Amino acid sequence: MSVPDYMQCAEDHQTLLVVVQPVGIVPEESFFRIYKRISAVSQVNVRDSQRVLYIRYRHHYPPENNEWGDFQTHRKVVGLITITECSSAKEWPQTFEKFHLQKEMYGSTLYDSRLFVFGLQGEIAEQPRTDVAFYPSYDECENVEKRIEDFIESLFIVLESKRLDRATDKSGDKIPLLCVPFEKKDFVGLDTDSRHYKKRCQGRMRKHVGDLCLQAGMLQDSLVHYHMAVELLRSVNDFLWLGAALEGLCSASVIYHYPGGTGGRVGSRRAQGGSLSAEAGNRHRPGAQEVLIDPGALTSNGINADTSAEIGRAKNCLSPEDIIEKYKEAISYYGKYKNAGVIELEACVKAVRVLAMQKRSMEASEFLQNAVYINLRQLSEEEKIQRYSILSELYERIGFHRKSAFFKRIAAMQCAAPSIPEPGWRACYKLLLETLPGYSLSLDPQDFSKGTHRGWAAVQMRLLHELVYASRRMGNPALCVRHLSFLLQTMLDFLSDQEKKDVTQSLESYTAKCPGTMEVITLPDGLKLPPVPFTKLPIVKSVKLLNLPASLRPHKMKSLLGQNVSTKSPFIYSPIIAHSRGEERNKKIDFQWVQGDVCEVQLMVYNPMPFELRVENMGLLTTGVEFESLPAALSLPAESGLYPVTLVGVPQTTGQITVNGYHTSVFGVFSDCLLDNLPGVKTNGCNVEVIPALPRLQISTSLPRSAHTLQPSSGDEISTNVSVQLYNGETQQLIIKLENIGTEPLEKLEVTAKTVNTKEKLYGDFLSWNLEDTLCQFPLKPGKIATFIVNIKVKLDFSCQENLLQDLSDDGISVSGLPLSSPFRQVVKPRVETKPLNPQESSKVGDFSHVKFYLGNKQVKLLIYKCVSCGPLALLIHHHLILQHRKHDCSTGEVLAKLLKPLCFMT
Amino acid sequence: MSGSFYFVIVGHHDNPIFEMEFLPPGKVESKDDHRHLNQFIAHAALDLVDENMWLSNLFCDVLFSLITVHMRFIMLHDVRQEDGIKNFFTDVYELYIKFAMNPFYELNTPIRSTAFERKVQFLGKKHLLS
Repeated sequence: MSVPDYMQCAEDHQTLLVVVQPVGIVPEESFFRIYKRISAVSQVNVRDSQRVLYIRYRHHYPPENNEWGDFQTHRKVVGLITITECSSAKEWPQTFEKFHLQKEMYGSTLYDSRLFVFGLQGEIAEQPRTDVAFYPSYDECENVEKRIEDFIESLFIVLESKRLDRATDKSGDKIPLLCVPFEKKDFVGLDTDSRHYKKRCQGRMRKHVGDLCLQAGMLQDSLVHYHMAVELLRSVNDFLWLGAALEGLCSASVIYHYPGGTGGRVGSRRAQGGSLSAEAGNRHRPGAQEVLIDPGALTSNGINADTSAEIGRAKNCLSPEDIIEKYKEAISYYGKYKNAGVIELEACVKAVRVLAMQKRSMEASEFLQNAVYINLRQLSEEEKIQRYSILSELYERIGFHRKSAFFKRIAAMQCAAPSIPEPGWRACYKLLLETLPGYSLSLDPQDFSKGTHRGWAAVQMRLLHELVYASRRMGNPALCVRHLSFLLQTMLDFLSDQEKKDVTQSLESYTAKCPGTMEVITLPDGLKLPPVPFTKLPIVKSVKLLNLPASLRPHKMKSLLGQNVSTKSPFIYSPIIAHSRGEERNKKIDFQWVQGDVCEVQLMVYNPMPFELRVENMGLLTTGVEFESLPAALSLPAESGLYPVTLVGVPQTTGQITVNGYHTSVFGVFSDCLLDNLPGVKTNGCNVEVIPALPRLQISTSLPRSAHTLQPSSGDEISTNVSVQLYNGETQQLIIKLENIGTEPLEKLEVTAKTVNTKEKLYGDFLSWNLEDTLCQFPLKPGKIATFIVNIKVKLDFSCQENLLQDLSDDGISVSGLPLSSPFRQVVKPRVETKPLNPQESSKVGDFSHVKFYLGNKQVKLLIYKCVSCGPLALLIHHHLILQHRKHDCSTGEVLAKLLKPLCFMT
Repeated sequence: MSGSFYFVIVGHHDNPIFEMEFLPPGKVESKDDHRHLNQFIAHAALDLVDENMWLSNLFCDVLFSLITVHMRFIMLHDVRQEDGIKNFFTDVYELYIKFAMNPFYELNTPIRSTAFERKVQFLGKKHLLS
């Protein structure tokens, strides 16, 4: 016996083995359909007795295993069902011949056999035969189940007769010696008359009767027989059979204790209701009046007539602890025989299943450990895979997930062993996937983003490498890229520099053929591989939405009413409002973006790799507003520090825009990284309002630009300085050109003048303009130019010269080099060298002179600052352009202002 | 004649926090392949260790603290040397507890201390390779 059945469990000892095989040409699909229907009849209540027969069906059974049938009767093929297809009466004799040949294969042990013929019609099919059933087709065979039941009943009759036959052997008669195949030659020439020999024969026979009783559904009787067999065999040191008797004892006890079965096969065994519960097994059903064969009645004339009364029924049965003890003993006896390796292995497996039921993992693992070291003959690769898989399954059953994963991985490796001519990469891959939970790995990168790393990184990495390799050999590059990206993303912290290089290199070579995507890969068996975004390549530390540049920034106009009536509550303070505000503040940003303008988001990133990282196609992911992202490509130096990256885009519509994340393409893998999934990213909020497009104004003047800034540039304002030098009494015209360079019409203009000095009284009013001429050109259409003329007239009053001089000195501003025709010019001159013109000091903001113009519903305000710094008068004209945009549906009105090129000039 | 040993301390989440190999003087560095195998075997052995932890009442004090910290010491060896290994474990355990007292060491993170490494190396030489 050489082929172990790893699926065996203790309760298989009570089954009858029936082989179902096709002869001739039978389509596999049809065969298995019939096979399935046949195997559904796995337990049969025999006639009216309370005894139940269990049937084990096999469609393949090695005949050499059959030879061990005397040793353990459940290994004996007792029934044969052949399925054949026969289309014409001519083929019939041949088919029948084949059936006979098939029968001969298991001939010595068969109790009965059946032939199912499909497709044959006509007179042959008409004749009633017990051993042959005819069916017109695979679809019209309603009574297959009934046939099988009849067949099993006939098996039972044979079994019962054999059992009675053996059981009633008188002890005086010569009992034949049962033996296993490899023993046969050992007994040649042995003294058959010795007491020792006789006892051996008796013991073996009792054990055999025990087996038969068990199969015939007489559990208690079998227990008694086994007990006696153990006694007999122990006295003659017949270890192999002693082991078998002990195992039989265990099996019967297991069946008694665990009527649900230990094999983990659900359904059929318990299908017949509670009739097999622990007590029911040794008690008649209350309703069963007519009992054909009463176990008690039978045993009274059997060889154990007196024993059954002696030993109480409950005592016969082993306790759960004893079962394990006896299994241990049996296995140790089997271990003495090299040829009984398969038996020993199977006994281990059976014991483990029982221990798994008892939740005794430690002892189970001892049995398994033993099973691992049982050396069978040279195993084929397929058998090795099977063996490792079953070890893995058993370890899983006792809750040793890591151990289970270990063996499963070995099985996977075996599938693709170099010695196999056609490596089964698919099977290897599938098995490897099954090992992942044991190594606390999942294929969802999300599981790795939170908390500390779980599991043994080095081992996990190895496993991922193996998955990559297997998927590559399977010819699935997309899968390969997905696993490799996963490896890189989740194991980045554990990779050495060299490994990082190697992994990225191979990733790049794979993605050259098949770029990585963000799609979920679904495997044929339904497993889904979620996408792996590279959130660590590069690592993003902060995300900041940037305000527009000052010149494009929208400003609110204050003029409109009801703007600040935001609190609807009559209370000064309400916690509810405060709460909702606080919540809003988290996400809300206090500036706005403008439709059609380029908006920016700044990311602080760094490159964790030991080499330069090229990030291509990096852009923003947004929702809420149509947004045209303008992707950027960047190259980060090796192990860079924080590195600012600005991502830009243009909102195309208005509303609330949410920046969800960014997308990148690194090493040929496209990733969408969502900010929600990034741990430890600082952000100033990611919701911003996009307001409708605003007009743009460009202003230029006829005067040359000034080299100095008179006004310090504050954040909100933009200024340009122009200068002009004039003598007292001189006049000059300043032409300001207003050009609409945007796409919206300009509607309002407002001009204000301001002197940046407190000593306005000195200089008087020397700016004048006439706005009407300009205003008639409004509203200014896109692309149109309007001109605005400012007259400058210098009119200084020198009547109080002392004060003037004093004031000029206080200002500390140089006056030299300026063509001011003042008598004190020489006095002031020495200061030139020591104190050059300092724009900062000259920038005292004085009074404003405001002139406002309104045109249409848009307003342009020109703020003109008068700025005097020294003798020659410096005048700063600073203007604001305030553009107001109103919406009809918006009661508060959105008042926005834009500052464009301001100007300033000196006189 | 002494064989080679592979010693590892495994943390809460089955993550190794300290690994070391002890090879007899004559033997060259073990191959990378071999090391992977060791890791796989040690990982698979954790099941048995965890199961034993609740059953065994040996080293009661050690057991208690190991449960609270849930650190597991595993030794893979190819020759029998029970006493040596037992002494080695006791000493390394003491060393580890001292190390874990260090307020700057966060439990369950890899040990990156050359002093610790040197001491373990010394203990290995003393108990295992002698």
